[in-house]
Amino acid sequence: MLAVLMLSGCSADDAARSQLSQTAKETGSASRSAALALGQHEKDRITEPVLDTALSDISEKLGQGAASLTSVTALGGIARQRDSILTAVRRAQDILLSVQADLSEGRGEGRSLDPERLRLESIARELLSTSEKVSRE
Amino acid sequence: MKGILAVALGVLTAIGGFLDIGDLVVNSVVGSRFGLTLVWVVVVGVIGICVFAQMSGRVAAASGRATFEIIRERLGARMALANLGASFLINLLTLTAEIGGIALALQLATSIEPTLWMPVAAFAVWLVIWRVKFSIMENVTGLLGLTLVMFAVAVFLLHPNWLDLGAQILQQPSPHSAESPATYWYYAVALFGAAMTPYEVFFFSSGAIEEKWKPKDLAQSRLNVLVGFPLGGVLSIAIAACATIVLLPKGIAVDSLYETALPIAQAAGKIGLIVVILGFVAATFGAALEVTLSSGYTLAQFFGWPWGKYRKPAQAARFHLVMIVSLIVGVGILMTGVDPVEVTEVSVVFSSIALPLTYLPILIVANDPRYMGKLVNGRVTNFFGLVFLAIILVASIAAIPLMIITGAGS
Repeated sequence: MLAVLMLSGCSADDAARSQLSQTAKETGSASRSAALALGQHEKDRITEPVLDTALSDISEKLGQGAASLTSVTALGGIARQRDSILTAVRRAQDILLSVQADLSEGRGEGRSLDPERLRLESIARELLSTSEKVSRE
Repeated sequence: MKGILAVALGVLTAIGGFLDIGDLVVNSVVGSRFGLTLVWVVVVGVIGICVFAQMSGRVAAASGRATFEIIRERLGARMALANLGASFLINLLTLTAEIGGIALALQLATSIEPTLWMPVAAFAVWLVIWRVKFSIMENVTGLLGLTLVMFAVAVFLLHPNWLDLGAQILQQPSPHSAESPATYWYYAVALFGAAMTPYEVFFFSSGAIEEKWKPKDLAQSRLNVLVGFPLGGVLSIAIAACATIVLLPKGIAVDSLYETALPIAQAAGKIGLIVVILGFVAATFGAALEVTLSSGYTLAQFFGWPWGKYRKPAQAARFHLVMIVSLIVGVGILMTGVDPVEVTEVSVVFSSIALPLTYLPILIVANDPRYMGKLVNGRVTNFFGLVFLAIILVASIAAIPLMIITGAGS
């Protein structure tokens, strides 16, 4: 993606913004997927293997997103945007880790994971709106 | 009565066997990102596969010989080699995607990492091909694949706004949409490639020889194709509709198989989810059987080796060896750690690139009275064949530039 942007004549800043926007979009989508899966778990509509698969897949995506953000070379405003996206991704990763720990210890029944679901939903909103904002700049 | 049952079984198997990992993933991705604005591509793709599948079935029934044998004889070794090279490589990529798909589906049933399931899935595919009769293999996976009808049921259970959904079918992507026009067209090509995957035609024509079709069987085969495939296309649209209703409003862009299943959990709970996972396993396993066989068919028919499941493996050793090697290569590719979903997306786009090399020779052979006798293509079939060949050519030329411009649709 980066190579395509560079070849098409975009500046390094444009390429960095594009990568930030893309990563924010992907990690926002992953966080919202996690919130949806947890919502379905609360309502007892999702099987355990599907929930496990969803959470481990999303953890991996967030990890890849964080790795991709740390590889973006940025200065000034772009660096601040990158740091804010990275912080949000790290928060989502921490929440997922605690959810996975709760579930593996049998502490995630009923609405007990509702606070985590709401926090993931809020992080997803933040990441998706940041993605749009960055892509408009 | 027996005839009606045979027709019903054929149609049901065609519906259940229509979907593979490419259809499952790409329709869901498209629904979650573009809503139903790309439904027209599924319709075009289904008509295209109907035109060419019934044409290749007719070639097999009229001549008693499989596609590749005739292509080599009719068009010469050089043209046939180009066809073989493209088809075999796409088959290999599709096989890799299908084995990955089985592993992902089994992960949804067991939580066990797909990497562990990949060799098991490939071994199971080989075992079934080695031991199970062609008709049983085809009918069981096709009928179990029918459980994917759950997607159509889920659309109703989700109580969508039907007017909104209907309006989306007629819409083009909004200029204010987050997706660029290039990405829209990239996924149009991917959807088209998923609907018209070459292995389906090779499997269909070689299957006709396996089941010893004669010209009198053509009416039933035509019914299987003309009823079964469009109903399979309806299931493709239902998958996209489920993603459109549940995932698109939340901004969730599908890039994993579990996300394809989330709308089912929302609509039908655990029971629906279990039914659909069974459908995922059946669809991907059935497709893996077909693609593996197609790999053997294409190479054996080109080189004139003995082939077919109606022969004992010892009498068609090279045919079976090609399939075993293809399965090992597919697992080897997956073991490098590539994402099976990404392999699937790439395989359907590369399918589009290779389509002209697959479908042009079939059209030429179906027009040759020396092989076809009275069953040579009529004007209407030729009209549709040429129209689709033009569409296939455009999709084939556009695929690579669109892939580069969009960063493979990202």
